[in-house]
Amino acid sequence: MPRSVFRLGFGFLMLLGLAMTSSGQTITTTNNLVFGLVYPGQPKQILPTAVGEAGEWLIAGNEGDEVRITFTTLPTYLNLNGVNVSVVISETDAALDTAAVPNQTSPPVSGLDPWQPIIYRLGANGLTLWLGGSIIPRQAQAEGDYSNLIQVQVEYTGN
Amino acid sequence: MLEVRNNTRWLKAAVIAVLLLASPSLVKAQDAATGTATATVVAALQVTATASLAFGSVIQGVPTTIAPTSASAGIFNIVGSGTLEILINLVLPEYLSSSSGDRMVITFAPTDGEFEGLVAADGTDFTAGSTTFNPYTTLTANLVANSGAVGLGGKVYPSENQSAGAYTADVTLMVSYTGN
Repeated sequence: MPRSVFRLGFGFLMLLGLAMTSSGQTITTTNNLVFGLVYPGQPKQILPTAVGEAGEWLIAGNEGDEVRITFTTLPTYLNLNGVNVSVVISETDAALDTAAVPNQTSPPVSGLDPWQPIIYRLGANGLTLWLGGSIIPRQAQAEGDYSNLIQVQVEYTGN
Repeated sequence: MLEVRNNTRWLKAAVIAVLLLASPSLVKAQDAATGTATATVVAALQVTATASLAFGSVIQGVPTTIAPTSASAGIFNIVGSGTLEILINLVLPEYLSSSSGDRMVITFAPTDGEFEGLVAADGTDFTAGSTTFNPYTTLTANLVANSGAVGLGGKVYPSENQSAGAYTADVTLMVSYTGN
């Protein structure tokens, strides 16, 4: 086989490698899921469309890349010094938008199940993901600031 | 033969190069972020009846009035969170009853409710910044420094032939946060 063919192959593989390096995704938390003031005995729901209250993540990457988004940690309670308050993240509490200017109040993709991987293609400005939830304090819930972690992972599907 | 060996070297070099170049992409192809869910649970409201609306001894046929700022007024202390807004509802009786079943009419005027957004040391000081309200209506008010107090006055109408004895009735105060 001529040497030039191998060199061509080498060059192709180099380009392939460069193409692969440019397809990384990054995810950034841009807003926490904030329930705000909660009154004992009064459940409170935060919709994914609630600006400044719903959890929000921005995924950046190459337009058209398909990504798998997984909430690896979703809270079932918030905690304060060993005291818990129940939280319910329902199967329709996630929404997303891939538009350059995301529309949180009326997202084009809503009612997503955050308990399952979400597979979607990035838009020109990546993808913005929102998460809502409900908190259910007891009548005798101790006062104070409660919190817990939410972890989201994004990966390229290869498609 | 020599050319094949050289080509093999090229191929190996190419594979190594690709692996080196591709490996960062394998790391960058996955990322994770951690957010937080937060909530501030406010203190539950607590109401305590600290003084009964006490008409004392009344005379048959002579109506007796107690002002909501009087030392004989009924007092409820409310403890909650900060300066949050609350709703105050009173459930008021129409008469007092004796143990023998006799009744004495009681009424409440539109000015018989008094609210102050801070419990005074003695729980009865409604002179500074207090709000007069109709005890038959719902009052929306704000706590001050985690507390508030409600004073209740009223008027009883003993009849000319009212049986002697002690008469009582329950007054219930209900409070709830408005969410504001």
